[in-house]
Amino acid sequence: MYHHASTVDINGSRFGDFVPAIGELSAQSTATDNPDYGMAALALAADNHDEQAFLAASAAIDWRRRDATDFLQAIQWALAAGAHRAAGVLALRGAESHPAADKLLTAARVLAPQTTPAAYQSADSSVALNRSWLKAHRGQYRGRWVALSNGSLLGSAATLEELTSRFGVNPQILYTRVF
Amino acid sequence: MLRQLSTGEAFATGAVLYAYIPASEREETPRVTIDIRIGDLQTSAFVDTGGIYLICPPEVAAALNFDPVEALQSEQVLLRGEIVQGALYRVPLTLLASEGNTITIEATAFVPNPATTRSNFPCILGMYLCLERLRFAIDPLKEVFYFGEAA
Repeated sequence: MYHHASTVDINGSRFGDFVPAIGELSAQSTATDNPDYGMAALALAADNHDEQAFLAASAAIDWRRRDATDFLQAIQWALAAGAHRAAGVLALRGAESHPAADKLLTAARVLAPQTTPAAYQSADSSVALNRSWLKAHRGQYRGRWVALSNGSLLGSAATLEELTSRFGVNPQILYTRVF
Repeated sequence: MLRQLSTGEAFATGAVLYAYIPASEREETPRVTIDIRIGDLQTSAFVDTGGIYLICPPEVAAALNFDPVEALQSEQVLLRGEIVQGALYRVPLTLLASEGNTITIEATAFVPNPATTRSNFPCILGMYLCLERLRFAIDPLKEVFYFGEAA
């Protein structure tokens, strides 16, 4: 069961057994005793893992009036609803509106579209050599992690941790589990 | 040989033979698997154009010492119909080429919480916030994965 933020408890007595539709929640959001129906609708969509409902509820919210906490909570609910693109949009919008909110800046950096130019390096001949080794020895090492360098076996182990503790994290060593 | 568009522009800047192998001990269905680097760690990943993010197994993330401060922690993420806990990171992802050039891009990596997931799976290259940045193609007859940066 999903645990909602303390400020948005749609399982609380205010709702009881009544589960309003998204449109109804939005329509009532200006009620004088408003417990934040807009956020409640997002929570409901998250609970139901319903991306479409999340998008509808999010579109009904005036995000210009929302603080950083609301944005962060909405991002979490977007991820739970499967609304991954909406999570990124909320993160970027939230970071723009609240540039001092570190967690929103982190969310925006993590979920932003890719903008950094790609970097290129020459092809690596060891890639084909390692692939050949794996093809030849798959049956022998199935289920184990192996460390390979230039088509040669450095070692094998039950876990990746065992291998990296012996050989370190080195961009020239392929660590892979054999299947 | 790298492919070209009709304009003469290179379609791909790199190519590599892929392995067509299962993704776990419990599977027989083969997947298109290539070698990648996440940061400085070289490992294998299978291509899942219906997936999202770069899914990074917890043991790979542990080897890379991902900093939790740099992560977007998430209590629940809906991935392919399953709810999982984990953290999202921004990481440098390199696709290794045996012909042409390797390419490094930024990708969003999801690391499942080790307490809530089985760990014996490889990295998974999804589309959204990962492969979508690239132009890519496969030749199943020659088992070649072509890739390059989109314009």
